[in-house]
Amino acid sequence: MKSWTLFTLLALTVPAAAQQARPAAPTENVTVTGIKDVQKAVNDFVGALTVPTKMTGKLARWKAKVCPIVAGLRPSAVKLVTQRVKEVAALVGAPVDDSDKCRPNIEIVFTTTPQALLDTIFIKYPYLLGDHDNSAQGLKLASFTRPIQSWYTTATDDLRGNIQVDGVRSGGVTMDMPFIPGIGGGIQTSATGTVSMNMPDARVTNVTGGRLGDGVSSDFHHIAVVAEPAKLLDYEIGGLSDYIALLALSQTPLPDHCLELPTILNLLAPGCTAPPKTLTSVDLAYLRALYKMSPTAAIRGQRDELMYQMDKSLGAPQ
Amino acid sequence: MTQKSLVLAVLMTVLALPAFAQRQAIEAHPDGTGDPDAITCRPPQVIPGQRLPGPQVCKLNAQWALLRKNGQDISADGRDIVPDPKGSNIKAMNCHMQGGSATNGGGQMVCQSQ
Repeated sequence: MKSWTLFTLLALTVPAAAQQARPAAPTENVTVTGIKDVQKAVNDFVGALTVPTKMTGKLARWKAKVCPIVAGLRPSAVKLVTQRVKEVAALVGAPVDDSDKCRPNIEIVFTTTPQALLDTIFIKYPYLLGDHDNSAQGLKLASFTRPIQSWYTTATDDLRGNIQVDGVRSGGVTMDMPFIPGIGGGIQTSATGTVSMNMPDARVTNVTGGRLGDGVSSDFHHIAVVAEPAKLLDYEIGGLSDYIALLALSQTPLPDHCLELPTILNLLAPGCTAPPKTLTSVDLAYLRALYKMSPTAAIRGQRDELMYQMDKSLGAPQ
Repeated sequence: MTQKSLVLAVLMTVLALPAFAQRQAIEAHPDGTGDPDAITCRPPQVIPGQRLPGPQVCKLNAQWALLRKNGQDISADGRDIVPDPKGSNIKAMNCHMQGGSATNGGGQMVCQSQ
């Protein structure tokens, strides 16, 4: 079974209150005025929200055209959320697949039994949880603890454009090297005097020899967003669509406290009074910067680029 | 940026689940005990109504353990998650055809608890 159909099949019914389809509100234009040091706030924002991938240590973003699919809502709400993710993607410069029959790579599921869905993913499609080294990490990733959560499967795009999905077993690499007598101890050699080294989980990546950049970047391969409607009864679908759009376009760790800069992430963060109900200019500046930055630069350079672009957009002194 | 040479770099990222490359135990009804990152395989099972058995199903012990905790199993064809017939609430059944004959077919499936 294709992984993307899993979500559709497992999506369960949701309370009607969570399905009230309302038109997406226009993007909120928040002026960042109440903050003394915008530059510091931007630095903190970027520091808190950017997660480098395990494989390349760089930030991931969509290179493939995004194609969201939504399950577990009424058709009108499904259309609204799908459209909003596509709209925001187009707005910030992410590639969008406008075809109605595109192959979904962003799966958004509203389900009354999110943990059961995640258990199934852990058992059948663990790579959809993101790159992890062992089952303990996998089980931790597969825990549903928030009203809305997202999981990121990334891929590594090398200098020659070869794309390999991270965390999926490769065929491994076998290297044959000439055997030099006198070293190597008990290594067994073949009759031709070579020693064979087999690395079952290694992979080959083409890189530059340069110090400024290795030519490797991280892309999103698949993003899963799971939401539990029972915990979202007090929220409008428009705001939730924006929240989901941010999660679907950037690898965003969910904050456990209110962020200083106005962001849609504060919508579900604990302890936030009057959080924004739509994407803010900060969110858009962040996403635009993410899709503008050099994908092959090192993480430090990428963060600097993000901060520079955001400062510029938000009017912070350079 | 200098791209003078494309260096074939082998990233020895002994990344995902190193235990994958190790031994695979075989058990008729894996319960997930033992090293959670070791693989245990269930031998092929008979698929009702088909002549050929299903595939061997191999999973991490952690995955088998979660299945058992949830009272679940993998179907004989290896595709779906199904209720565990050996779970606490459901007992395995012995089933056979009763009545009918080789010429007229018919008969009735009769199942009894083991």
